[in-house]
Formats: sequence, structure tokens, C-alpha cells
Amino acid sequence: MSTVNQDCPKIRQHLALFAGRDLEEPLCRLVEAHLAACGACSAELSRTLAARERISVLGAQTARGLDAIDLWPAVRESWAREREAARTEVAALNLSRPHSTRRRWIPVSLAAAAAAIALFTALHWGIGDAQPFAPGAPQGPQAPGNTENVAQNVDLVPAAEPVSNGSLRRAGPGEERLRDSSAPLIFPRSWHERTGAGQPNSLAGDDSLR
Amino acid sequence: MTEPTDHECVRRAQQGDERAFEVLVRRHQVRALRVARNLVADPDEAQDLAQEAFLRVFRSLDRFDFEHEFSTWLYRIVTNLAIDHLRRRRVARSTAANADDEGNGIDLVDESNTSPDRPMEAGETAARVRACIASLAPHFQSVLVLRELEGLACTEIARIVGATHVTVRWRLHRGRKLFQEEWERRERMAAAGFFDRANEPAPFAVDDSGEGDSAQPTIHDR
Repeated sequence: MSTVNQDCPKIRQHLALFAGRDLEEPLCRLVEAHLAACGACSAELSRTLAARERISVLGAQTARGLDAIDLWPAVRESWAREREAARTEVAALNLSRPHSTRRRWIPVSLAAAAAAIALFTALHWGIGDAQPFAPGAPQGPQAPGNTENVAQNVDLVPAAEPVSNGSLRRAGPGEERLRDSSAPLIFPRSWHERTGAGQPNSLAGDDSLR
Repeated sequence: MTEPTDHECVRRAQQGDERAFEVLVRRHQVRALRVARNLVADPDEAQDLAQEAFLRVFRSLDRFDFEHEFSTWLYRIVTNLAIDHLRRRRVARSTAANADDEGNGIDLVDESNTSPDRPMEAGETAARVRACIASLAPHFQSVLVLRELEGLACTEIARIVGATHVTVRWRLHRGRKLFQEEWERRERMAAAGFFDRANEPAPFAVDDSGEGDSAQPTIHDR
């Protein structure tokens, strides 16, 4: 029995967890083996188990009548109050903000400006019957719209430079085929059609680069 | 038609669905109330805590981590609120007791109508148990209540209280021992002719945690 008594302090350290089945399996087996041979530790375990049972009495008492309580109405009311308070705060903040009317017009003005720019650009690039106008394009008698100077107009069209080798390079595997951005600026096709001017020679029949 | 899961309700509530939040509240309110009442003796205070917990849940719904259960999150909020409440009350009580007793903190004997010979009813036992639990430090109380009364596993308790599994097991071990010692101490005092006010917690809380809280007064450090 001397070995049992030596183990008692160590085993009693584990009784609190053992009583609630919270001990690891190897330790559990060790405690069980000790308890089978030690009356004092078994009595200590009984006290621990009794204490646990008393705690469970509190649980049973507390659970009584809880089903009858409904928290939702009170929670909802508090929640609605909070939302109302937040809304009031936001409204007060908006009122205290200066030039709130002017700020409201800023996005409208921006949208109107964007629409005007878009309309101007559409007219400018030859949609419909509008006269084309390109910045830097010749005006007056040499203007593109003047049919008397068609021959001269043809000369005015800058001859497209031969496309550099780099732009004609065959796209490698996985490489995106891009439109050639090094091609010279040419007048829109619609202008050539209207004026009867010929297409730039170097690009004739080579639609792949347009 | 199957009931929506907690996670589905949370997702819908995040999108502003009040009905989904109502489902969550009605589904978990008994659990929240039970934990709050086991930790806080006053039923009205416990109800306020549970209510506040649901409001906090709603306020931070966007931060809900779908890796975890909704109930774990709710337990965590209720437990934290209750622990904060207990700590505030302990500070207030210890301050008042210090002012009254000028440091003579051993005066635990109190008058009561409870006789040691009379068999205790379940309600009376529950009140005594509550008093013993209330005399423990809040972190012991929370672990004891979650394990003994809610039946949660140590790993889940660790997630709820934000501690490691080992810490939770240690708190459980110490909490059970301290509860037992406190219960037996009260019984001895009652048997010796002193009367213990069973339905009120001790004026000083039992705390031998060594996890901070050292400023709190302790009765015994066994």
C-alpha cells in the first residue's frame, strides 16, 4: 500500500478533471487504477462528484421559466431606436454641412459636360452629314470638303509610311495580336468616299493593319 | 419546409432582412438567457445582458466569421458582457467593503434564517450554489458555467473565452476545487453555529488565478 499512498497527492490533482470526464485517456486509466486500490482518494472523488451534482441543481433552477421570456420585442425596439438615432444624426450632419445645394449640382454639371463632349466628338469624327474637321487639317480652298481641289486633296493625304518591321512581326505563341499603333494618321474612310479621293496607296488592300 | 441554418440567417440579416434576425434571436434567446442568469444572479440584469448581447450581435453582423458557429459567437458575447458586469460589481463591492471594514476582510459571518438542520430544498441549494459560484473570480465562473451547466467541450469553451485549451482545463480544475472548498467552508460555518447568507455572494471573491486581477481582494489563497 505504500506505493498507493505515494501516488495519492499526484492522483488527487487529477480528480477534479476526472470527475467531469475531462481527463485524457491514459491519465484516466491511471486514476481509475489508483482509485480501485485507494479508499481515501475514492472518498475525495465522492466529495468532488457531490459538488458537481450541486452545481447541476443550479442549472435546473435557472432553466425554469426561460421559455416564457421573449427577447425579440425589446431587441427590436432598441434596434429601431438605434436606427432612428443614427438617421437623425445623419440628417443633422447634412443640415450642418455648408453649400449642400451646390454640391448636389456638381455631379449633374459633370454629367452634362461629359454629354456635350461626347456629342461634339461624335459630330467631329464624321458621324452623319456633318462636315469633318480635324485639328490641323487644311481649311479654305484646300479644305477636304472642296470638290474643286480633289486632286490636290489627294496629295494632301499624307502617304502612309511603310510599316516598320517590328509592327509586322508575327505574334508569338500566347502573345496578343495588337493593332498597329505606329500607322500614320489618315483621314476617315467616310471623307475619302465623299470626296472621291483615293485611298492611301500603301495601305490599299491591307485591311489587317487598320 | 426546412428551417434556415444559422449561417443562412446571418447572411440574410447582413442584407437587412429583419425576419432572419428575428429567427436568430428566437432560436438562441433561451441559451443566451440561461448563460446570463447562471453568471448574474439578478434575473432582470441577466435579461438586460442577453438583450444587449443580441444588439451587439446585430451591430457587428458584418464582422461575423462564417468559420465558426453562430452559437459560439453569441456565447462569447454574452459571457464577455457578464464577466464585465461581474468585474464592475466586484470593484464596487470591494471598494464599499474596504470603506466599511478598513481592511478587516475576514468578517464573513452573517445572519440568516437558514438552519443547518433543516433539509435544503432545491431552490435553497441553488441559491447556495449561486453564492459559492459568485464568490469565485469571473474567469472561473464563466468556465464552470459553460462546462457544468451548458455542457460545452473544453475546446469550444476555449474559443468562447478566448483562451487556450490548456488554460481552460486549468481554470476548470481550479474552479471545481475552489467551488468545493467554498461549499464545504460554508457548511462548516453553518454547522459551527454561524449562519451564512446563502442567497448572496461573499463580499470578497475567491481568486487564486495568478492571471492578473491581482488588485482584487481574496479571502483565501489555498
